[in-house]
Amino acid sequence: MNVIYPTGTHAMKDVSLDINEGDFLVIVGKSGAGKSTLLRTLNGLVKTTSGSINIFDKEVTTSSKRELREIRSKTGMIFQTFNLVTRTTVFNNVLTGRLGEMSTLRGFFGLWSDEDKKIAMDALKEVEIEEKAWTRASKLSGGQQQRVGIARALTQKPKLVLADEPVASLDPVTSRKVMDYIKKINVELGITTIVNLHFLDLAKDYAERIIGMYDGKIVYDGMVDDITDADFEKIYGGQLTEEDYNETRTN
Amino acid sequence: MKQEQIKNPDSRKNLRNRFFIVLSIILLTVFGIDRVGFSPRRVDGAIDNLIFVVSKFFPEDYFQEGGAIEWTYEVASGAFIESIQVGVLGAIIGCILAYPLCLFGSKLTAPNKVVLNTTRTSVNVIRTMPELFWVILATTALGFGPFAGLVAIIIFVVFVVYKMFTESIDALDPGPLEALNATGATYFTSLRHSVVKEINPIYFALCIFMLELSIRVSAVIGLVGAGGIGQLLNVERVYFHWDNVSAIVLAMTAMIVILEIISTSVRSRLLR
Ligand SMILES: Nc1ncnc2c1ncn2[C@@H]1O[C@H](COP(=O)(O)OP(=O)(O)OP(=O)(O)O)[C@@H](O)[C@H]1O
Ligand SMILES: [Mg+2]
Repeated sequence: MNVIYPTGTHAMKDVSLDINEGDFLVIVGKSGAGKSTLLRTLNGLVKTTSGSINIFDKEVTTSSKRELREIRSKTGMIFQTFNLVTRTTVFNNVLTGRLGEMSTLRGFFGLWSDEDKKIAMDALKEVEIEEKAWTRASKLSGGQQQRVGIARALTQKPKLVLADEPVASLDPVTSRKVMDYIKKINVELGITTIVNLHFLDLAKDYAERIIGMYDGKIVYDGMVDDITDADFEKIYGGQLTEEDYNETRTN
Repeated sequence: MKQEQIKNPDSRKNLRNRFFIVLSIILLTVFGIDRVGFSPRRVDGAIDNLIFVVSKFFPEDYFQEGGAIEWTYEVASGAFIESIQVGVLGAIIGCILAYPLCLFGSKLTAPNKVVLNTTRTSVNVIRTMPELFWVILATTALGFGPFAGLVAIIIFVVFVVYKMFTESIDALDPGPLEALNATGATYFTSLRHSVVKEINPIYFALCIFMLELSIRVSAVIGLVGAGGIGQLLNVERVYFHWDNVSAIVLAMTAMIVILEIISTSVRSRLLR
């Protein structure tokens, strides 16, 4: 699979990847390596230039609008900047996770069924933030907002969750808490999860399988425990000084 | 010991720039005086004129029975109401029409490039015409009177709202919209539950402002024949009924002040 942006950036270079159901996959790589691009091709937010992507036995690259909506409704996405609608309540935000399943008319007018509301409330309980349901999203802390982001994804009843640097704007302690929730979803609900992370140490604590990206290419694909210092150098850009190396590692 | 002087290396350049700015202001002023035909003798005459006009504006029977104030209350109030009606209706229709146009004219919310560019280009081309052009066009096509005024105001409101509102939409965080697209929601549904929720307070505040503005505009464009109080003002002016003219202007001023007070307080409440 290849992606060349209209600006000419060749962001995905012959990337090939198999993901198994129930996997917890972490993609690492430095800024600009193409982690976000890879995630976004999976639900069609970024169009591939060539190649093919097969998800839930459906082809993303050639799918019609309707098919793409179907794929997206089964794919939850979690963002670095949370991307909540700030001027409305937490509960309303989480409910929008149901929109992909609703008819256009019901969706447009926000006619949620009792079932939809129950799913949304259960999702909030899953990330233990149900007491904030009626609070405005803008009033929450970053960690709380991201939990709401996770709940919104869960409300989709997804088969796949994509998390694009979900903890990059959070402090270390909150980061771990949020990562724990994402991991819990994967383990308890068996949802296939792909997470982009900047740093290897966090990846090592949570991942089963790690994909290392460098300059639009996959340079490592294997289990966490097998990763070597040589692989590490390939991911973070070859000739690093000893100091860079230590710094990146401990970060 | 000699203290080292701290000096901005650009100070000479700054001084030179300031000199040129002052010089151009002086030159422009001189140029302006020349064009207007300003001279001390004319000012002399103007003061005499002014005293004369004030006595005409505020004659002794101004507040008395049969005076200008009573006339304004009894005769001109109908025209006032007409202006307000035209302004309110024009603002409402204009604001409603502008909403989808703004969604199509913002890079964030346009459904595709074709719609975006078509909207932008056509609005920008049409917008280059001065507002007065629309009033004159409307009165020519539809005849003098409030209907022409209404049409002109709708056009005016649509363009002002377009200009201000598309900028607000462009400045929004695109994240929430993308998040809803990623849930599989359709274009209109995603907009409805993200962008629309974020911008509605801004939109309603803008509508209140437009209500104020279009009532003011509707009062003024009557001067070129679009009905309402402006048209009456023009008639009174033509007949040299200076006392009626001044009473209308006073009433208009009062109306504008009241409008502004209401609109400011409503808007600050909306945006809170
Ligand atoms: N919408 C876009 N248009 C053009 N070029 C883009 C776009 N998005 C990303 N790129 C480019 O593609 C390359 C990969 O970007 P991508 O965002 O996938 O990297 P990343 O690994 O997610 O980086 P980061 O850790 O900073 O998020 C970069 O060179 C980037 O400049
Ligand atoms: Mg990224």
